[in-house]
Amino acid sequence: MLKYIFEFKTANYSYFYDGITNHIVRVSDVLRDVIHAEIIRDIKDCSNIYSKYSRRIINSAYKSLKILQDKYKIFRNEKFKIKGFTLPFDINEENLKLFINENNKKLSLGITEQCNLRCAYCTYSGKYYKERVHSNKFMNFEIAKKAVDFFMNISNNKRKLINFYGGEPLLNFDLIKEVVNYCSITYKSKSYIFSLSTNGTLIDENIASFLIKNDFLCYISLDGPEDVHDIYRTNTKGQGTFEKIMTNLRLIKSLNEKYYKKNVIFLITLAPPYDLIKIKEFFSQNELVKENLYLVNTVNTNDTIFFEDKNPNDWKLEESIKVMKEELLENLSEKDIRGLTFHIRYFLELLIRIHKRKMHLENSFYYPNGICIPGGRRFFVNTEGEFKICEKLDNFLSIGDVYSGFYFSQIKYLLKKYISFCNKDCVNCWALSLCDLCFVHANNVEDINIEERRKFCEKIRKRYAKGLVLYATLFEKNSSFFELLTNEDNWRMNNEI
Amino acid sequence: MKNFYVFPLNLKEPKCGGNCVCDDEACAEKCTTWGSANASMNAVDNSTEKK
Repeated sequence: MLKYIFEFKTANYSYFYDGITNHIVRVSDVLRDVIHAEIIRDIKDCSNIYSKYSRRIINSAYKSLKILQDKYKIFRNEKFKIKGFTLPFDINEENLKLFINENNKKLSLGITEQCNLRCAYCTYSGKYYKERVHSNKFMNFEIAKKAVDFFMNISNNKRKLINFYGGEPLLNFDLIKEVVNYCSITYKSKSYIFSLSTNGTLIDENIASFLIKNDFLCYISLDGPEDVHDIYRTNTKGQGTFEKIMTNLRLIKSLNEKYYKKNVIFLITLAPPYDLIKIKEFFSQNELVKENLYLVNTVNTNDTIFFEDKNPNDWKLEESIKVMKEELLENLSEKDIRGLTFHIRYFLELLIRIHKRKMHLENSFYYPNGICIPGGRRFFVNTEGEFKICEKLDNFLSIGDVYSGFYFSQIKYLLKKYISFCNKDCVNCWALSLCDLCFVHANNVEDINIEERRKFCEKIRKRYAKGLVLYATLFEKNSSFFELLTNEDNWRMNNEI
Repeated sequence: MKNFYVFPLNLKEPKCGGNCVCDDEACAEKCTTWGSANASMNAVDNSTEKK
């Protein structure tokens, strides 16, 4: 098999995916056989083909293969090797500054490392080897002010976002008020919005009124109905938090229904036993949540002891996915797309990534997987004022601080080192054009590490192998479905920015 | 059917050129929680891999 070619099948057709050009091609049975005989060369005896098909049909398949090779550059010589991996610009301080100025639009402030809950699957629960644990660190206003000043000055982006993150950020509500007040006085002429990632349990009338008044985007963790949510999302006494959150949601809604529907967004974390159908039904039927937007994540399965006492035999993930895939396939018409929100949210990122894959010119360089340019679009500031690539890497190397700004030497080092990993490993992988591994996956706390990243390579290939089958199956059913999907106005439930 | 059908490609180059979620205009807002990178690892069904 050519190393950049991945063959797959749906229920109806055979396909090849070409990692070099990013092309997906559906092929007839005869063309598939010809490709196996001529390109993959796993058919030793070509006379077998001639016994299956007429000479005319085989000739036609050979002509088709030539078109695929000449016009689409698929199935090239097995000796073909890509040149390597690179960014679209030279990695130097000047270019990085330019990129950051143009594109940075999100500042995440980690304003406390403490939380009032003790959710069993939490990244900071102590069950994740690479992560920090809850602590009594709180950001002070001086740090927050410096971070905001830095952000406002480096970003020319017109849609700036300042996110308050934790722990539970509402434990440091006074700081949130101070920052909002400071921005309203100092940055009157700038365009920015605030958001908050919260567990929702501390929202009272005072806080809710403040969030409404300042038009906060309010991301609230809610995993599903009570018997799902309360499995993991508990307070320090081990008590469930569902009822408390629902009470607080009613409060926000009663204060300003329009705000509630537009600005309250739920974050769903899928965790064992992964009863997706029950969760899907809750979010499509419950009066308090069914009109709101939600984002779907899954609990982190890497570098953790969280799963040690979990029994996969009790999990409902496979059967849930099967049902959801069937529902997705059955309801692909335009009018039904809103009813598929949960399905779309679950499968969306992967499918969109495949659908929006880029055209690669012959012999071009390739982008190093899914890495961001550190500081390029967003950055995270911890309680002590250190800049991190994102909140997922808050226990990782700093890329700057509120006193010195970005450490460009560090950013250059990380980019160049990651690219060296790609030049070593990815030049031989069919998923090189789809892979979205990033610094998160190469992180070993001290540095980025190629061995650490290798742990994910097979997972990525499996994921895209499954994703391509699903994508092609959906495409067979309704090729315009993805145009509907990529035009998010068709399925976004409110004015999410 | 014809011998082959080549799926259409998105010809619009993303700003940063990569495969990352940053290609998406809404990325910064979407990546609000820790789970995002993780979600991309687990999407579809790799979580079904028995531990």
